[in-house]
Order: sequence, then structure tokens, then C-alpha cells
Amino acid sequence: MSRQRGRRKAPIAIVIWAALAITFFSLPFIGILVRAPWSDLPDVVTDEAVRRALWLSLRTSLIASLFAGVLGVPLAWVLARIDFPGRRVVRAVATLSMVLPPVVGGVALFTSFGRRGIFGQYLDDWFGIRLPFSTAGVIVAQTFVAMPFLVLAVESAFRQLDLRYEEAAATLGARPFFVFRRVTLPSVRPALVAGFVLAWARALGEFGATITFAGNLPGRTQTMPLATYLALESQPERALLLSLVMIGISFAVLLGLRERWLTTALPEVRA
Amino acid sequence: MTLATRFTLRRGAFESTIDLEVGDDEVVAILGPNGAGKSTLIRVIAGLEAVDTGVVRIDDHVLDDPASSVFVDAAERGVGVVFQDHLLFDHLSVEDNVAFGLRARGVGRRESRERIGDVLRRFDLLDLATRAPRTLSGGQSQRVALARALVTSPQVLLLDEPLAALDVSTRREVRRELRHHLAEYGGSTILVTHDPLDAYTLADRIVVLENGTITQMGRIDEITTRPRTRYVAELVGNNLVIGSARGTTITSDAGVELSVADSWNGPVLATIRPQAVTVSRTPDALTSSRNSWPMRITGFESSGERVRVHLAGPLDLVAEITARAVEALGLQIGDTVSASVKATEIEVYER
Repeated sequence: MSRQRGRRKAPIAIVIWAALAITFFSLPFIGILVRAPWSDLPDVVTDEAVRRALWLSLRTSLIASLFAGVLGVPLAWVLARIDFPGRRVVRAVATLSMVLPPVVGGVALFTSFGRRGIFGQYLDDWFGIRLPFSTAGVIVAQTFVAMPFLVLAVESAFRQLDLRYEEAAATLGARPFFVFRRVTLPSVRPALVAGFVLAWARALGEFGATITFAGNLPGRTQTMPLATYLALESQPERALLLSLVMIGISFAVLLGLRERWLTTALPEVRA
Repeated sequence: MTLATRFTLRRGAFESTIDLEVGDDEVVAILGPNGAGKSTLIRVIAGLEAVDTGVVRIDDHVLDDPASSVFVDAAERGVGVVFQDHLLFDHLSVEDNVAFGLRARGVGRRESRERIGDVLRRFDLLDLATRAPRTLSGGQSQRVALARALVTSPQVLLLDEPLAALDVSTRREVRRELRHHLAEYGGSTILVTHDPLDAYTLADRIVVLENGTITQMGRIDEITTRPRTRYVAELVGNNLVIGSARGTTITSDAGVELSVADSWNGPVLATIRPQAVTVSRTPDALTSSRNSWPMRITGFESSGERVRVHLAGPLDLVAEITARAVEALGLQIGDTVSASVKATEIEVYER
């Protein structure tokens, strides 16, 4: 025990409590691992329908989190830096879809962007774009629910930046957009990565808004969560294996991420 | 080329009124206590703060003039700044930090790499080119900050407490380097500091800033021999008496009379060098000194063999005597002593 001499001792009660929490997290996965018909795994994984659902899920969730970044970073910057009347309302709107039941988000999307929706009909008439029951609709639904996670992570990082670095860049001849691109954005990279991962995770797990807005068409809009849920009704064994695939992918991603990207979502505040 | 600033700026309760010109190839040190408005002056010239009234210009090129709605953005001013904590970009290597100003002006990556080669060599940064700023020592990071500010050849260079972030042991070395680089640089330089030593070694001229206004301006010898405020006198280690003269008698603001050698009339300032103040245990009537007061010792400050004795009485004085004298007289804080100054040792000048 000499190694611990002088170290602050961890309060034992907190450690026990933490162990309880991790047990709570682990038990459901243990349930799946025990019950899964492992011998059928190769068949399921090579199954054409499963591969299509998996591929669709990965593709749409990545594109959705890219959209969340492209749209969310400027939004986060405006919320963090520009003081305008109604900023609180704008922030509430921007994060509403995070709090709403996803089904409600799906209904909202359908009412607005559906083929008879108040905006959707013009999309169809003028541009020939039909979002419902299309892969694009899946991406829209996922972006809608995932973007708040990125916005919140990045906004708080923008807020904590030391503005003097941007001033230093300005005195070196950098115009505002150059400053943003070369100084501000790189400084919030950890938060950006964390926000992107959170958004991606949310998009990958999206169910309610997707099935409401985009339906359940195999190969077009049937993502892994949808396929899993539907399998549960007819082939529960298959649902277990599909879940297993999702768990494997998510776990691998989380393990592969450098820890600091998740734990230092906020950059160190420089004095 | 001349940098001219004449402005008033208000920020809440703080108000600053400045009238200052800096010539070509001149280094002006801005000396002043904390909160005097030194950094505000830097920020005004750099374009990070707008003035309320007045003009900031380089020659005929107006940078800020609210009367004619002119405000040139920091990015367009061509004013180089070295900030207090250097503010190097942590996500960029040393060479990319130095090249930043060129890249910001649209110079391509390859061309800017080539163009900074000479700068990196001059600032002895070639070996550090690929290092991350957080791995540098204070002196190294100061060199990078200076090189970064000078790479685009600004007409004006502003240094905000460039040595404050350094520890005492490296400060002298870095100050020497800085002196060398400033001598090479041909533009106008403003150096903000609260350390008189920086001002003495680096600047041609000293401007003293107190409470947002310039209280004294001049060459180093003028500042040291003819301080105009108590802050300056304290800074240069001199005793200052503010009063008015009639004939060979000066009456200080506090009502103390001093005999001086030469005849003066009207408001005057007078300095008494600490070395000229004699400290004795008993008031001695038989001395050639015309000025003698009972004083209480309030503190000692020793530097080597000499001790500066702080005295409080009719007027506050600092006397500089030898450590042996302190010992021989057995001086201690709280003791009452007699302090005397010969009339010929009092330097009088116009207020």
C-alpha cells in the first residue's frame, strides 16, 4: 500500500455507488449476451436485408451528423457570441427536438415536410423533392433530433474561449472569417469532436421520428433500430442478434475514441 | 513616419486622455502603475478599442477618428503586437505561428514557409520550428511572439509587458535579446512596462502614465533627475518635495520649510537624493546642514552594503546609508532619529 501513501483516499461510499451504477448499465447487456443464439450470428450478419439496414444506418447517421456540424457550428457560434433579443427563445427552439418525444418530432416533420405538408407540397411542386418515405427523409429526421447535442457542446466551448487569441489573430492581419477558421474553430476541436460523436450516436439510435416521417421501407428507410423492432414481433431471436450487432458497433466506436474527446468536451480555459 | 495619438476614451468610471507621438526608429516606454491605462493605450493603437474623441494616425493615414467616422479594423492597420502572455496559438507549430500573419494576408503555404526562413534564423528559432508552443520556455515563447508580430514588417510595434511573464533568472537574458531585436527594427515601438529597468535598457524616451493621463514624458535622465510626481520619484528612487518657493525657502504642500541654496519664486519641485540625507541619533545644532527634522523609522530596504531607510515625519524621506551605519547607530523600526539635508543638496526646478 506504500504506493498510495500521501494520496487522497477515495470516499468508499462513492465508489460503491459508482459500482452500483455500472452494474445497472451492464445487466441488460449481459442479458442479451446470454440469451443470443450465437450459432445463428453468421447467418444473420450475412443476411442481405440485415446488411442493407446496417449500411443504411451507418450512411444516414454519418451524413446526418455531418449536416448537424455544418448547420450547428454557425448556430452555436451565433448563440455564444451575438447578443440579440430573443436569443433564449432561439436557443430553446434549437434544442427543443432533444427534449421532445421523437414521435412528436416525426409528426412535426410530417406535417411540415410531408407531401401534403405546408412546406412539403412546395418542395414537391417546385423542386420535385419528396422527403417522406425516402432515404433523404431518414437523414432529415436524424439531423433534426441529433443537431441539438452538437450545438450545446460547441456553444459552451465557444463561450469559454479566451477572446484575446482572436484579437491577437486580428492584429496579425486576419479578417473575421480567417480568425474563425484558423483560430476559433481549432480551439474548440475537442468539443467539436465530442458534439459530433454525440450527434452521431443520437442519429444512429433514431427510431421514433424516422418511422413516423420516413416510414419503414427495407433498403430505403428501414434502419437498424427499425429492423430490430420489427423483428422482435415475428422473430425475437433475430432481434437479439440485430441488437448484438448494434451493441458491437457502438461499443467499438466508444472504445476507439480517445478518452479526452469525450471527457474534455470543453477546452481548458486559458487565463 | 510618425505615430500620433490624441484621444479621450471612457469605459465606465475609467477615463483616459492621451496625447502622444512616436517617431520613426524610436522606442517609447510607457511606465505606470496597474490600472493606469497602459494596456488601453496599446489596444487603442492596435485597433481593439475605439476612442470616444480624438484621432489616431500613422503619418497622414487616419486609423481612428470618430469625428469623420473613420475606424480601420485591427486586421488592416499594419500594427504588430506582442501581448502580455504572448498568446501563441497552441494548435499551430512555432513556424505556423510565425507564418500566421503571412497566411492571413493570403500568402500560400509554401511561399510563406520560404519567407519566414530568414525570420526564424534571426530570432534563433530554426531548431524550434516544429515544436508546439506549450513546450517552449518563457524566453523562447517571447521570441516566437516577437517574430510572429514582425514577420509582416509592421510600421508600428506594440509590446505589452513583454517580460512580465518571465521569471527573474531569464528576464535579463531576454531583455538583452529584445534590445538587440528592437535596434534592428526600424519602425516606431511602444513598450508598456511597470519595471523601470525595462524602460532604462530598452527605450529612448519614457512616458509616465497615471490614472489615464500622461504625467511626465522625457528622456531617461530627465525622468530620473527631475521627477514630476511622487510615483515617478518613487520609481526612480528619489525624494520629491512639492511646494512653492520664496527666495531661498521652499514651503512644501504639507507646510514644511526647507532652505535651499539658490533663490526661486513660485511653485516648484525639489528632489533630495537619498544618499544626501544624513541620519543621526540626536538633533545636533552645530551642523552645516540647514534642514533638520525629527523622523520616525518606518522601514528598511537593503541592497548589498547599502540600506534604504524609510522615514516618516514632517515630510516623508528615504535615506540611503551603509549597513555599517545602521548597525553602529543601532537603528530599528519605530526609532526616532534626526534627518538632515544640506541646502546645497536640494535640487530645485520649476513645477
